Amino acid sequence: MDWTIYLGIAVALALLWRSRQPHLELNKWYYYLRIFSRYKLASILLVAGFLKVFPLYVPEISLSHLNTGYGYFQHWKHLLLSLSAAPAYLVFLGIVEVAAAILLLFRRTAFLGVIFIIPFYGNVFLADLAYEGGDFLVSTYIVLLSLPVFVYDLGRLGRLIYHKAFTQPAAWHLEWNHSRWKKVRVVGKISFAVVFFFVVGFKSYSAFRQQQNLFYPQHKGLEGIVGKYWVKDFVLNGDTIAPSPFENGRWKDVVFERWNTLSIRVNESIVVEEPASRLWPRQDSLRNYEYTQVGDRLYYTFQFSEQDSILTLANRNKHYIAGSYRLQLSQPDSNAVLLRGTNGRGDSLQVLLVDAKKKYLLEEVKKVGRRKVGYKL
Amino acid sequence: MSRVKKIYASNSFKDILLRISLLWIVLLSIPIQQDFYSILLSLSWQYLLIDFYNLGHLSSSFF
Repeated sequence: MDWTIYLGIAVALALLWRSRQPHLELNKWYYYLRIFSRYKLASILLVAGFLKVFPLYVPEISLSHLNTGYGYFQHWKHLLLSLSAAPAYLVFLGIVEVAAAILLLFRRTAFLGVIFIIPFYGNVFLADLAYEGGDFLVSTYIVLLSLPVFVYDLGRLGRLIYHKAFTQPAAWHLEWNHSRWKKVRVVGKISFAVVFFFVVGFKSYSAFRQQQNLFYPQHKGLEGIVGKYWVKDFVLNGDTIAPSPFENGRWKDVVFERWNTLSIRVNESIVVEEPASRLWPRQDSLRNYEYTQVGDRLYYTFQFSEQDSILTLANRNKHYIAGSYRLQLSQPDSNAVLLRGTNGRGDSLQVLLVDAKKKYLLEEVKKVGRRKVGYKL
Repeated sequence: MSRVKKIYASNSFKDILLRISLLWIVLLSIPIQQDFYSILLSLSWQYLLIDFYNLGHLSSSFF
């Protein structure tokens, strides 16, 4: 709808413009439109591309996600998790985007760039629709931006490929040497290359080398307590609750992440939270990747006081905002964790957790290398 | 040549199509959300990648 409104405004402005300036130098203005499209496209592609060349675009699969049933993820999450499990594919996508962006920066190769971009982002558009990504306007906009460059040479491409006729490349270009914008052009080109190529490229490489992620909290988790734990004993208000598919309050298992997140699997069905915005959040408190678009587990952010070993849990899901715990943590032995304290309603709670010592195939494969794993006929 | 083809090939049609395309694409690229300016004003080295990604992807959605 917004796009239609803007089209209406564009038509009105175009008619007004035409009444004021009836004769337009078509070649020159089409050239301006192509310059705008090329550089706008290249800026988007270089950022998105470098985030994939150095695979930061989607984070590694968290332990909680590895301990979540496949059907509990929403479709868009499935796509992100698939990309996460195949970083080489992500790198390939990034190389295509960066290569297309570089081709777009030069007038003579811009057409080759959009030949990459239109099927690439056409496919992204279809993936957005199929996986209910909600960002299909972005891919549509990118394809729209590529059209002025594509249409400019489309006739020549048809003549060459379909009619197999001798075809001269487009010869018209702006004589920048006689233009008052000559100096601005050089400064603009250099600034663009420095910011979007060198700064973004270096920053992505640096983040990759330092194993940063852009989606999970950066605060460290508990020292020596990471992974999946079974709930051996669960005592609520003095009553020991045995494992049962009908008992909603009992925890089934707990996962401690490497950062300050703890997730709990319970019997009750979880009201899934949708991300409020498609923008990537900066601060830990706003990073919602791990708990949005997924059910099965409740995700808590925790603070740990080393002085009195108090673990304070706060539920991240807005539908469970009242869910909180204040628990004292102790380790009866190296494989067990004992949590004692109260929940947000004041009920007393005692939970004994035992390390499940679960091995994850993704990590096991990394130890030996992907090439050494496989089947022999 | 059919009437439609004549119109399509005319400079007058190309002229208005170019003006509309130029204005539409530029209008679509102008970020009008408050988010855009708040990100721009708070750009920092630490969050550069997140900020740049958001800036690139904000410009195509509105209201």
